[in-house]
Amino acid sequence: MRSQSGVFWRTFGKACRLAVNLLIFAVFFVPFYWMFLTAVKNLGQTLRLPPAFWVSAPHWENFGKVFDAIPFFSMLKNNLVMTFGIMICQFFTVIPAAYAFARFKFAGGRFLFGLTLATMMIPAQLVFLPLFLMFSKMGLVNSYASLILPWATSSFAIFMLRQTFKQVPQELIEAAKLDNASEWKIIFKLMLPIAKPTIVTLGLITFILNWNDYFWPFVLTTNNAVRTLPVGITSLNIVDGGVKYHILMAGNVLLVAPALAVFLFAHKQIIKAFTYMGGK
Amino acid sequence: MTGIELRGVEKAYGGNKPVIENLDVQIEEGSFTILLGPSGCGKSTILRMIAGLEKETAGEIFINGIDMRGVSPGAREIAMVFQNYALYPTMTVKENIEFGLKNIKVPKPEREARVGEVIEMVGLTEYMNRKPQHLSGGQRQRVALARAIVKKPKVFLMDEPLSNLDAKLRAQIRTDLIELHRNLGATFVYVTHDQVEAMSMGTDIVLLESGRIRQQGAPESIYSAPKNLFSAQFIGSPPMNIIKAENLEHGGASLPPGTVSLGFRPEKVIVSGEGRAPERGQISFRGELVAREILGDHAIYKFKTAFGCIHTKTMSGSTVEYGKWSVRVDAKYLYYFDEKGDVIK
Repeated sequence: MRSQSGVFWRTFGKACRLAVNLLIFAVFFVPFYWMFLTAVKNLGQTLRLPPAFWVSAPHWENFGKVFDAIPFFSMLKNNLVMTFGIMICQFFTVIPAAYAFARFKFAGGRFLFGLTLATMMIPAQLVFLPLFLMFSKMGLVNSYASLILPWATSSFAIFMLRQTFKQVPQELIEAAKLDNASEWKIIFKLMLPIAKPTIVTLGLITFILNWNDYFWPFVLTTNNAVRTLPVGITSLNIVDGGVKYHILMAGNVLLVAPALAVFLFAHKQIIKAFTYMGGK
Repeated sequence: MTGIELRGVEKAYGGNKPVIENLDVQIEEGSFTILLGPSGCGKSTILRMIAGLEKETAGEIFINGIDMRGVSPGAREIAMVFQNYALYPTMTVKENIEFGLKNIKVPKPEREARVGEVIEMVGLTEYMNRKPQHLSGGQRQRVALARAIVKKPKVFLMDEPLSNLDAKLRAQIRTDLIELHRNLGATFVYVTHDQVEAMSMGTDIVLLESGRIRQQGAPESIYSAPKNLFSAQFIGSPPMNIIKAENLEHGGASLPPGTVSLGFRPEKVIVSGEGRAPERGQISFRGELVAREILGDHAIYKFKTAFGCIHTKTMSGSTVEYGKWSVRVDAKYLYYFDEKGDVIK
């Protein structure tokens, strides 16, 4: 009897776990599914009640309409320039700052690090007006510089990378010193390879965040020559004669596809970086 | 000739009281010198100052007669083996070993030859392209040694390199190190708190306590002629038995004037039947056997006596049964210590 009830509870436990997993899956998956589905509906289907959860004849031409409505490819180019511009800038600002905070003792070092952390706690909505004024005074509004410079460094990335550098045992650096390695050699041959999972993860996070960023590009650009995709896709929302949800969603599919691809491709790397940071 | 010399070296951290004060040490060229002492005695700090990883607050350090002031760790012609091996985790075994040679721009053919030779010497040829995380503790230890050997340094510095290994491996690498020292003829400076390692490998032992040298000499001489209570009790396993003199004087024994305590090695004790009178020139204690460790070739016994616990060590023979016994020791094996703990000749 006991073994039978044991089997029951084990099955019950498995079923519960499956149910919870399915629920979590649904929470994450359904919005994406809904986006794809709406993107291939026609206007009538998007407005029908109750909504259809399957489309037998997908309207692929919706994607073409996105290209007609906005200068898609130039906006894609702007998006790429902005995102990679930010990543390259951060590479050159974050790594030296994190290394200095982690390994050197200098006057005001702790204060500066505290200041860096404090910037993480200031919401963007608080600084966008003064920043906009500053950029417009320098004549940088409506330029790539206005898209890239505000994110040319990241206090979050500095913080994460500093922690990684700090975890490298002192003995390793001493061994390298005894091996006649210069400070630069220690950075490039020892510290950066050790911090590689963190750096790759930070790069991916930066990519995904900035690729989808809407607020800042919207504030600092006023013409389509430098506007990015998220701004352009949102402009699909404001078309005469009601919202064309199917076109809007088709635009969204095109927008998130690269970010989604990057994430699917690299999620193992991201998980590895976080477990490495936690575990050792 | 002197390999390494420390003259009046002092080390203080921040504004604190110095951990090492006015220390003079001479390490013979080609010796296997052990810096031995309990944790916190400053032995690792001394090693790190020799390596240049830690800057001395005052005093001078000479390696092969050259003043090391302002000489960077890499330029001191030394190699160091760390307690946790400090292998570069992202490099393979081979890259770990050749990193130092690359940095001093040894030409590739010579580098390859030297690395190959050393890898073979430590028996890691088949693991050459593995990363350290895929090696066992013993293999990592050998990579660390290889990384030191390949530089052909005049001085090897080792900071408790065996403490992370299991007992069997430790014993094996101990003999490997003795062999290595004999083959290379370089100066070895080895830090440990383990007197067994010190006795078994060292040609010279520097025994330290709280940043001061308590005794320096060959293992045999430190063992047979300890200068003070500290070295008498630090060297030897189990340590020397120490009995308070005042207790003995009540028993009518005659001791040299000024004796506060006396000691004798566990292996000099004879165990015999209770009540047996001591022979001429012997002292005897009546005691009860309370613990027994049979170790095959020898055995260690702990007796409880009116004068305190006495450990004895006997080589193979009949096992002593639990019960009351008389333990005796020849007066010629006794050491007498004055109130400062120094030995009385």
